[in-house]
Order: sequence, then structure tokens, then C-alpha cells
Amino acid sequence: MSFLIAASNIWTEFADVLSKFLTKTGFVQFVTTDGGWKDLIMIFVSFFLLYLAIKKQFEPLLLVPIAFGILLANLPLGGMFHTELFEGGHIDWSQFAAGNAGLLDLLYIGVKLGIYPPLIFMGVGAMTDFGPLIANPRSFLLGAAAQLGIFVAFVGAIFLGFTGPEAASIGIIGGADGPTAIFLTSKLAPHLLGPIAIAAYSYMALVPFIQPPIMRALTTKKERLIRMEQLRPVSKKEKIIFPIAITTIVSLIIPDAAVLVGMLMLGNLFRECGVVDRLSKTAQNDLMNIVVIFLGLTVGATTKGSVFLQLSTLKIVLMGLVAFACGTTGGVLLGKLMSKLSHGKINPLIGAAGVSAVPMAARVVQKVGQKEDPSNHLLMYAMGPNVAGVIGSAVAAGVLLQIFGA
Amino acid sequence: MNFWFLAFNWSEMSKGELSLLTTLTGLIIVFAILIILTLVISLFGKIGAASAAKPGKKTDKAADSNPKPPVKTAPPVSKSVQTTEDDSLIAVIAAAVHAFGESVGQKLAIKSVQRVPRKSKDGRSAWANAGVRDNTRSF
Repeated sequence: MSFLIAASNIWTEFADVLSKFLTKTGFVQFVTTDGGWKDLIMIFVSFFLLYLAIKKQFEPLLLVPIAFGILLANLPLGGMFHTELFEGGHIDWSQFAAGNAGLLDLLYIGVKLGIYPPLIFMGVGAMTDFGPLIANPRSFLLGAAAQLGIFVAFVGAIFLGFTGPEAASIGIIGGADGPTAIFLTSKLAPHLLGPIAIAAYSYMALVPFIQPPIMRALTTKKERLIRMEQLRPVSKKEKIIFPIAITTIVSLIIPDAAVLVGMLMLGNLFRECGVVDRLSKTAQNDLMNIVVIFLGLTVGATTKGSVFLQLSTLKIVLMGLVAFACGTTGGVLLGKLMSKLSHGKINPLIGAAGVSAVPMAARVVQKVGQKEDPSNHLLMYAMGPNVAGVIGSAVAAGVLLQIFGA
Repeated sequence: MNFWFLAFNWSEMSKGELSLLTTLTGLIIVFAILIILTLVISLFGKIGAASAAKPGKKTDKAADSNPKPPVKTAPPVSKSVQTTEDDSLIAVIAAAVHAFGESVGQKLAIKSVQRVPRKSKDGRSAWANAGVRDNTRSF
């Protein structure tokens, strides 16, 4: 009899332990926690994004860390990322001091303090040859016209009910520049960082599908066939003066753009001055890769199901598309005007590259141009507006930061 | 230097006012700055070109975008290479043709060696065209 009682007690204990164990598994949290099902959906979204990155090779360098960040952040009870530590636009340092922060919380500080995007800009600068832009400075105008998308999307977001700083962060998706979008959003609307970063990077990957129909609709066959004159050679001296001059001029006019433009140009000076080869290589390879891992993981981590799966995310995605389409339209229309004024010396297709998205947008121009004439290579001419677009979107971000910043 | 007109109180504006003001100021400033940069960079280019054109002045040896062609001029088009300086070039071409013939199992003979026109109609040499095709093929 006592044996049976002991066995019964053991069974009760075992059932109790098992029950406690089960309630502490992530599976149960999906149904017992408020909004837990949203986390489950985001986990499946991360699986899909990993499939796109690995199997379809859509922007894998960014999408793999972002998708894995989404997975890690939405695993219940994992404790790797806590949105509450960054609520209200502030960092709850007391929780960090108490040791309650997870790994992704620690890495996210780099986003929150605006460290990663400028470092990525430095790497981009070290990888970019501004020669085509220096050889044809008029490309700057195409880079400016393509920023039209930012402001059209801003207006759209305002009328969809977003506040000024939120609308500015949504509009900057049209800058087609991930680091710029993350930088501005982390300053103006950090609660929208996840949806905006995902929308920005998704549309950049979709540039080859979004731009060509607009480019063809706005140009005639004759315009698409225009062959441009060969670019003049650019001296080393000009390439060294360029980053110094751009940083000085832009930073004096728009101080808030100094961080992005300054770091972009510092990276470029590393590349062009020829005396700091090691720094140039580090900026464009090792440092860039490290920062991309940190940035991708933490941006992915901001897409907690309860925050991400809202109507506002759909609105952001919609406005992002509007921004890209209008940016392309602005660039091509100014390209047409410049083509007319130059008596057909400029192929208006290169205006589409002004949206940045380096070098994807320039390659789209090359592809669309080659469809009309396979021997017409527009790639080098499109690189001018393309890199001008990077500077243009950084300037636009500086303007928006100056208007809506604290 | 901050623009005074960017310091407007956006929180008290209507949606229409805010949209119009932000779009106008944003686009005007972006265009203004990039126009200034266009002018400055054009000016640098002109100063550089003027200084390079000065007689007796050494040109920038490090110009890397388009290196100058070698001083030795190419022989006229469609004329057989006959000079002794080009003997080594002929030897290299003959060796390459011989190696190719071996690989396909044929005996090939060279009857003449002629230079192709250095530049095609789009202004690129055959090698430059091959490079462009190679760089853009994957897309």
C-alpha cells in the first residue's frame, strides 16, 4: 500500500514538473501570451525571408542577418531583445546595469545611438568611385530630382495619419538608402524602425522590377537609344579634393547631414588619397562586414510580432512603394528635360539611377538601355547620378532632421 | 548655420500646411545644395584642365581613369606588322595560335598579322568592349 502511495506521489510530482516545464516552453507562450500568435507569424516570415536570401539570393548579405534577427526576437522567452528597454525614444540604462539586457539589446545600442549607419556610410564611401560624378557634375541634379519620392511619400504619410517625424522617416525610404533610412528613423521615429528598415531593404532588392516599367513609360524609344559622349578622365587630385570639398560645403550648409556625408566622404578619402590603403581596405571589408552583421541582426530584432503586425506597417509598405516610384519618375523627368536642353546628348534613362540604391539602380539603367541597343553601355554614365543620389538622400535626411529633430 | 525657416513649429500646423512647407523647403534646399556642388565641382574640373593645359607644366601622372596611350604610335590600319620591334609580338601570337591548333587537333598557319582598328564606333577598344560585356553580363 505504501508503495502505491509513494508511486502516486512520484507520479504527481513528475506531472507537476512536466506541467511546469511545458508552461515554460516557447510553444505554450504562442497561445497563452497576449499577441503570442503574432510572434509565431513573424517566425514563419523569418523562414520565408531566409528562403529568399539563401535559395533565391535576394540581397543575402543583408537579408540573412535581418531574417535571423526576426527569428531570434520572436522566439518567446528567449530574452535576447526587449523592446521595453527602448520605449519612448530613451534607453533604460538601469536595466542594462542590472544585467537584464539581452545580447541584441546590447547590439541595438549601436542603432539607437546612431553609430552603425555612419560606419556603413564610411564603408560605402571607401567602395565608391565618384569619378563619373566628377567627370559629369550635372549628374548632381539628377540625384536631387530623384529625391522627389521622399517628399511625395512624406505628404502621403501625413494624410494617412502619421505625425511629422513619422512621415519624415517613412518618406526617407524613397532615398533608397538603407543606412540613411535607419539613421533618420532611429532619431525621429524609433518605434517604426523595424517596418521602415524592412520596407527600405525590400524595395531596394525590388528595384529591377519597380523601375523598368516607369522608365519605359516616361521615355520614347528614340530617347532610350541616345548614346552619350565618353566621360573625360578625372585626375587623382580632383578625386582627393572632391570628398574634402563636399564634406565642407554640405556640413556648413546642413550641419545635421554632416554625420552621414562626412563619414561617406572620409571613406572615399581613404580610398583616393592612396596613403592609407590599410584603412581603406578595413573600412570597405572587415569593418563593413562586422557592422552589417550587427545592424542586420538588430534591425530584424525590432520586428517583434506585436509591434510589426499592425495596419501602420501596411501603410508604410505602401508609402515606400510610392516613394520609390516617384523618385524614379522625378529622376527620369529631369533627365528628359536635360536631354532636351542638351539637344539629345543625355540619355534620360540615367535619371532613374538618381534614387541611389547603389549600384543596383545603375545596373537597371544599363539593362533597360541595352534592351533597345545591346551595344549602348550606360552603366558608367548612370553611376554619376547613382552616387549623387547617395549624397542627395543624405542631404534630404539632414533637412528632415533639422525640421523634425528635437 | 541652421536655416531659420526650418525652425517652424510643425506640431501646430494643419496637414496641408505641413505637407506644402516641408516639401517646398526640402526640395528647394536639396536642389540648392546639389546645384552649389555641381558648380563647385565643375569649377575644380575647369581649374584642373586649365593648369594641365599650361605649356611646360607637368601633367598629373597619377590620372588613373583613362591612362594615356603609349607614346609609340600604332602602325596604319590593315598594314602587316613588319618592324623588328614587333617580332616578339608575332612570336607570342604564333605561339598562341599553335597552342590553340594543338588543342583542337588542327594544323593552323598564319598568313598575315594585322592590327584591328583600335577603337570601334562607340569609342572603345576591343578589349574595353570585352571588359564592359564581362562586367555587365551577370545582370
